[in-house]
Amino acid sequence: MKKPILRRTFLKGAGVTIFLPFLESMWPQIANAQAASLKRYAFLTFPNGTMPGTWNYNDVLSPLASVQNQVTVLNGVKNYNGDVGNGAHSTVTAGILTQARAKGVGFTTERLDYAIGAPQMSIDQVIADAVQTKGSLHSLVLKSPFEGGDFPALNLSSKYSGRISWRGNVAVEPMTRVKDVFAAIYGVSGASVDMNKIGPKKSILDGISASAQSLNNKLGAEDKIRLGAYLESIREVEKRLPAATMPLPPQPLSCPITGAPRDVAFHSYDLWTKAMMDLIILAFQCGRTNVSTFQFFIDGGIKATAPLHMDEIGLNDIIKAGGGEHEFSHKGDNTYRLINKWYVGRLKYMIDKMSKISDVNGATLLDNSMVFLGANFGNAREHGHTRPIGGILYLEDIPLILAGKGGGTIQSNGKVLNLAGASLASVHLTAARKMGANIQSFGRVGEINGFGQGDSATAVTQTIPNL
Amino acid sequence: MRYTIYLIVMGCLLFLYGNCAPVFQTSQLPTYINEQASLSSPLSPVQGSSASAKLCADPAIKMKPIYVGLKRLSRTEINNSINDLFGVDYKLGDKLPLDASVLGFDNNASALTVSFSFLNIVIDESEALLNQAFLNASSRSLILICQTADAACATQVINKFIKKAYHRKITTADTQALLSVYQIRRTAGDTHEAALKVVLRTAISSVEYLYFSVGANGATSSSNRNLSAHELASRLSFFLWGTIPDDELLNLADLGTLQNPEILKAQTLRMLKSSKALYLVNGFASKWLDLDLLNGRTTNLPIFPQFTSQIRTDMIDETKYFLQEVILNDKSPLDLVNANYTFLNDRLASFYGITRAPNTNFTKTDISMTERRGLLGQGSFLTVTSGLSETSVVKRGHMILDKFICASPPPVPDNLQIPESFASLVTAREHSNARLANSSCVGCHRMMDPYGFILEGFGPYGTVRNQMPDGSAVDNLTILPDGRRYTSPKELTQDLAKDENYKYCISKNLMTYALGKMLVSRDETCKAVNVGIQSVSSTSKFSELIFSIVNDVSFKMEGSK
Repeated sequence: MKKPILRRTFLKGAGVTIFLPFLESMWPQIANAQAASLKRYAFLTFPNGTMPGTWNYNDVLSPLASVQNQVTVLNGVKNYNGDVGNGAHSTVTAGILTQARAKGVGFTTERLDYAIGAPQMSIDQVIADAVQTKGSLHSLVLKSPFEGGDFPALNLSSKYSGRISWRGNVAVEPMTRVKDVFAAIYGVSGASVDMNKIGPKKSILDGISASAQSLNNKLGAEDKIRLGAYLESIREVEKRLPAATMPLPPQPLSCPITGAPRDVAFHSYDLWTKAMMDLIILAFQCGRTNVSTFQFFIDGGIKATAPLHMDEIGLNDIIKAGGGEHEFSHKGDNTYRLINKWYVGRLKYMIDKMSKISDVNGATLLDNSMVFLGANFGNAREHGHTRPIGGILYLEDIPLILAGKGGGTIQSNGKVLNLAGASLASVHLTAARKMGANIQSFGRVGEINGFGQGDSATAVTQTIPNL
Repeated sequence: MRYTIYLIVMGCLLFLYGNCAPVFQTSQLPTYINEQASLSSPLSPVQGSSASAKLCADPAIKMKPIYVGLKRLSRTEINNSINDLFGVDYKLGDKLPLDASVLGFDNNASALTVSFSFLNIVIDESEALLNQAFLNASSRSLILICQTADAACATQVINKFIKKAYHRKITTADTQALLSVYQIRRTAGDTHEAALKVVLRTAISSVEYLYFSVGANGATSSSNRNLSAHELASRLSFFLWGTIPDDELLNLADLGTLQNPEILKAQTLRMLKSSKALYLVNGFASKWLDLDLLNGRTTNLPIFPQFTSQIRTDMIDETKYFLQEVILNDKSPLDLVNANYTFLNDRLASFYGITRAPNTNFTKTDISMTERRGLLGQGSFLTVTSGLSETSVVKRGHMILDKFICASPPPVPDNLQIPESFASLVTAREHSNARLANSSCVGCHRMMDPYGFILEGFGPYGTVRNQMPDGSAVDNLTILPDGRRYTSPKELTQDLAKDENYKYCISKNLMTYALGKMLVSRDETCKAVNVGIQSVSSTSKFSELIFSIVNDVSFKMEGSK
């Protein structure tokens, strides 16, 4: 491990000049051709699904009634990658953006393994690889600070139900604090973080890294995996040490100046989710990243992690008495619809904000973006499926909606598309290509384990016409 | 009214299982127990039976250590130990991402992971912690034990600090590593104190502090090994106090005498007498019983306005005082289910309708003239297992099976189908009979429902009732699958106290907590069988159960994996 030391030696030297302005040649610039086609994609997901027949403007989608002309409702899409039974949360959530069925490989093992085929990158990462602008963040991966929803008996780690962005076997570690995201976007000075804090932090990382490395050699296989999460975290912290100042927004973007240190504690789920979404929007607006994922809440969350937003829709007492959001999903009644509606309201918030921001080509930020809102199950009560009379399981359609025009690549004019059994992998493939990722196939369409046909290693190549 | 319907449906939803095994073993335990256990081992013990006692008595099983592995400190353990290390009340743990809990406990080694957020927050927030500690005169003198602004003094500070902060014997390499951080910071221009702050932040961000049992002096975890004296001191201290060892324990570890069973026992008893042992009530017992759930229960509902927030707090206090009495004042572990005493203040006594010598404080109260016994007769248990307006025989039965018999049915299957005909049923008995007549419900409900019915004489807030809300008589007849029949809670709790399954179950729960590990395989569950047989009886004391765990191979050794 000699490389990081060399890099730090360099950084130590750079420390003295770090307050000086960057040379203009170091500013990221978007080439004209790139600016003309600058597109962003935000993936928002919520847990535990919806009930069949509720994903329409008269019901769960009612918060979007006034912005129908900015969205496309995608009905009939199936999430083929999940387990029936208690592994459902883990597999379906880990697979919502990878579209490959996860397999439990050990309760403590945080790496994702797959039922069949090669490790799969989630679609946000595929797109980010293709569209990253020079000097910007690769992608912004966010989640709530809860962990849980684990199923030890099934060898499924809590990471499966708490991570949606994956690079092969490894989860992209999400950020959970507003101030971390803020510093990632604005850099130390923009976030009013004292640059003097960065030097000590580097020394600490050096110190703990050295002792953890030497311990690693003494451990057995299982402990190595646990320590691996710690070592990985050290690397993640190093990687995200904020830059001294935010690189100027790539021209021709402009970026609102914001001064004071920004943090929103996790007391109000409403304010906290909005703060996180504000930062996604800022990052897009300032050209700091083009791709973001935000998992609002872990899937299958147990009573200990009843989400705080229940307070804000007047359900907290019931939740505490009866269990968590997950238990409401199994009930699938009007109360659960309120919870679904609350998540749909998050999308409304984003649409409203993004449609008021001017972006390249005289379009709004929303026009130049796609915003995905979806969940894993099309039948919250049965967690994905129904079993009509006769005992045959039927895989229900998932709730899915796209907002924004993706730089003119999708229509989003109030259409309600019926895609009649199309796979979610097809939707991802189609959107990725429109975003500019040059891929010919994505994910796999096996039948859900338990639906009779087993998994298929065949990648999906079919796109959705008329999106 | 809406609540009533909701709760009935909810009760069914939560606990009507589609695919439980429909057949019971003659030993009265449903087969799903073995099916679950067989996920890890095809030879899991049949709990409680003489066959399992004989099987678990096999010396090869008895002497086999358990792998627990690297265990990150939980958020509360971080709070407590930071307090001990710095002498300031700075809740670093509260700032960290929430820990996942397993079987209700938040100290499970395999669930306590470290993520970017976790480590980033430890490193960032430790700065404010150190600033606070250096400003506070008494904590400053605790840490800065020398006055010269040089490496020699830094070495002293480091050695004193990591001796307590690392959960093993420290080495010169440990000191050197931190000293080099000190020197790097000095070279970068930091003052002596600023550099020391960074050093101590490094120490509490290190794997040595954040993880328990990181190997003593180069020991590897690829083979079975005895815990070092320092590791044993740490494991014992986290078990009983939820924090790092005190000086007395560390001194014994330094002397190398802690492993001596006599000394280990004396220390265990000493620690249980310390006020720090209250943590065992909060960290173990409250979590075991889901007491936290009661905190969120709605009060002053029109349907039962007598349940006020004061009564809610009283109920939690009753259970805490009771647990304190059994665990720390060293009563028999059987008292948890069968005690004829509890702790009441005037308000709660009058809420329950129990007459006693007036006292506004909580006092030990004889309840032998009532139907209440042990935890099952306490408002906290009875309320947590009820809906807002009505009791739930399913929840109550489930909780008894889960917490006291360790025969918890599997979670709700996702393909749950509730027959439409259930909607028109009214009484709890009608609902139960319908479930028992339904092939996909009966497997689990045949066990759960009867255990719940025995408590029907207590309403949803734990008060005695002589009739049901609709005016009908209380129906608390309980017939277990093996034919045992009860018409009063006392009869059930008496039997429960004799039940080998209970002895196994309390031991298993306490061991799960002590080790921070689920006991799953045959060899692992055998440890709890053996401890239960050895140390739980009507004449045994709670400290015997605790010491029996502390003195077990599973506690004093670490298995390989």
